[in-house]
Amino acid sequence: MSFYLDIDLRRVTPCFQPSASGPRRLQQPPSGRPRDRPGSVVHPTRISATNSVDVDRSLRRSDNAIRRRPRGTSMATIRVLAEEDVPAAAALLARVYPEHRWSSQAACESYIREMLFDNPWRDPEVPSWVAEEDGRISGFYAVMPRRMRLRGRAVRVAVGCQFMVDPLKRNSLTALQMAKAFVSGPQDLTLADAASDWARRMWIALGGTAPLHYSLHWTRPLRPARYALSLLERRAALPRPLALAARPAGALADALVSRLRPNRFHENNDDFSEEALDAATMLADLPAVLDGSILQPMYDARSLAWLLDQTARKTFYGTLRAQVVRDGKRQIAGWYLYYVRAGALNEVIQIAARRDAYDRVLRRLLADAWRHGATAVRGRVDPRFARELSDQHCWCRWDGAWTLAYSRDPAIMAAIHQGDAFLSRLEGEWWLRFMGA
Amino acid sequence: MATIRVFAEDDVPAVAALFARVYPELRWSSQAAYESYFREMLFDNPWRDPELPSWVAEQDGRISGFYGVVPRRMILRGRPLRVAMGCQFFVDPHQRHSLTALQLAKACISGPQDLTLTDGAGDESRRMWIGVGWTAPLLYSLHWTRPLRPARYVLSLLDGRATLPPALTFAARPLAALADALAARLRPNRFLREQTELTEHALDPATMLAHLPDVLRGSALQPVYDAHSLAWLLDQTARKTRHGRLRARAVRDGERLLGWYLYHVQAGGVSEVVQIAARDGSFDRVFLRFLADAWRHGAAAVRGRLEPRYVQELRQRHCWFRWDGPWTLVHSRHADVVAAIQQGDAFLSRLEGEWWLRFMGG
Repeated sequence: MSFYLDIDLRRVTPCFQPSASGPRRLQQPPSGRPRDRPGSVVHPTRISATNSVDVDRSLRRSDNAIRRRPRGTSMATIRVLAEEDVPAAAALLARVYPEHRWSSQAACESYIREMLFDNPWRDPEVPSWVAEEDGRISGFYAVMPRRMRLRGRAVRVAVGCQFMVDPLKRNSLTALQMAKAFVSGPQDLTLADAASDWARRMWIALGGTAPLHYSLHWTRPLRPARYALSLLERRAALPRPLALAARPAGALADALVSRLRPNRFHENNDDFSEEALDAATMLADLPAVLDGSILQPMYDARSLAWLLDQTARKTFYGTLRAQVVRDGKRQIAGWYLYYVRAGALNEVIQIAARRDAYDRVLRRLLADAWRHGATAVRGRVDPRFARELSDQHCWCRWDGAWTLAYSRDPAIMAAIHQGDAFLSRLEGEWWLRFMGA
Repeated sequence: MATIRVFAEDDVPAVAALFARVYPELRWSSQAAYESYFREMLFDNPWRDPELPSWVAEQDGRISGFYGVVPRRMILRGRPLRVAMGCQFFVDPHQRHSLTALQLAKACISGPQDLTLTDGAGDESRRMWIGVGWTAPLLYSLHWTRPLRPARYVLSLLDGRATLPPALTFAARPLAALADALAARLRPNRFLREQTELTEHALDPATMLAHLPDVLRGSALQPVYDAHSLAWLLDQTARKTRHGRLRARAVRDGERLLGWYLYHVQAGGVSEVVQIAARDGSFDRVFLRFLADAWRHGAAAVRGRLEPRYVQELRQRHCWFRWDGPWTLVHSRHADVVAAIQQGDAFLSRLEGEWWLRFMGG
């Protein structure tokens, strides 16, 4: 979820204040009639939305956008997204993201319907939202309900995954109205994990937090010269002919580097073995690999299979590869899931491992990615394994996207602030394809 | 079970002897020099507070364990806090399987302080401390590194780990120098062309003290200094020459002080940053001045502790983070104190921890 706005955040009233009466229950609008949920914000907003696929670009756009002053204010009607709204929401997405990669409007509508109305966690009390103005959809906030567990207790989670406002309405209060509607639901935890810096500021002004350790990503160069060259090429820091001429030297340097001790991925010094990971294995062994996390995701056979299928369909980053790692006694050590793409940076979806085997599962992933031609691998930092990541020469960085969290339950927030939550890219919005690939 | 009691000045020789047994590889010029340093740090520091003492473990009339504490002062959103900064923790090698370490740890946190803090704990210590209720906030255990001469930096890493034969490393140096000369022409590394409107001068404790409120604004948990304690602390930091000479510079825009940086200059190696502080909105400009200064002084790279508030600026300037070995550990009875640290809302530079101490030698 990411968006940007032009607003005096010091004047925003926090809406996450704990309530003595507990969370508000959501009332469904009668037969599609709009229900007014006016916001209480005192300054105009300017927002737009981005997808997690290109956060840097969204940040650049936001910098341009905030130079223009808003010209007026207006209040939209915020109501629950109904299936009949899907064509209008898809049309809005096309207006906000004219560069998206959907083959047709129908394909986009079908995807929105599948994600928001046919997902395995569908919960009418944790809905998506639309803003309506003059009989037209002017804002859309897609929400994916999820399930987690805090020390055995079930936790309802709402993951914000698409947040957009009509470009013509960006000087209205629509964004804040929708954000407030979203967080006021009955869920125990509200999450987003691809938010822009402007979204973070609004979130914090509303009373939420942005835990930095879940916003960090690690990168491990496997072919460092080729990786460095690709970075320079992408930033146009080197003239293209020079970059091309440097490639043979880069390949030579990488061949040399692969012989150095930390990079000898072709050597296999343990009795661990690997095989393809399937949803059944993952489900059966989840308790073993999540042991030690206070806040854990909860899956069943259907939801996990569906999620993995959806993740595999995201081909923008390459082909999904999922491997389970077993120790010499054939006991589960852990698994890894990542997108394979030779000659490029490979994105890691999830590494899950027994606490005593994380380093070896990570090492297996690095070796696998190296064999498949990756120049580097990147994944989200799991704060519990910072030492193991450092030991394997992974470097961390904040890459421009924020994880945002809010809960009225201090125990849930404590687990997140302490880094005791298992929040991989599967638990957030990373695997979604609202942008079409 | 050992007897745990408050550390007294008369215990210094016995603790120094214990230290020599625990760390035989660390050599002070003499036992007397080490004892004198011990006395100065633990009995003559400007924050001395008899209610926040150091602790010893005694067994069969012999000192078998030691926990050194330097009291400090902080504020949390204006509320004064007493801080016990743990700085030396060791147990006789023959007693390591006993409960002595745990007894010492419990004695330390049972004091009247609002916050107990240490920032040089090993991984084994971390596990034990977490077992007795401490937390290890990852954000304050991460360090950032910014290569300035990347090829030389990589070579120094390979050299340090003996990954390459020394002859090969030596032969690669001219090539590395060439690569670094090229890298210095790339946009992110053109330090000398930036910000010519800013001026710099030597930073003194008086300037630092006068502008502390400006640079600390925005952090919920802040250190508290007075003229004497700050001057003493900077003097002690300057005496730590293992990482190079201390360089402390204030950065101004006209008459307005934007911030400052303190770091140990290490030509050809990694220069360690002690503190970078800046007014709201000025961190990037101060940081850029610092990078240019370190580059001019020949640093291959610079490294400092992550200041969570400035993660965006550090990213923008191509810094990478890493857990580099020591853990920061905290304990407090007050949930808001721990929350401020876990949420990255504390100003905890290396000056606020134990980094400037020289128990392990110069």
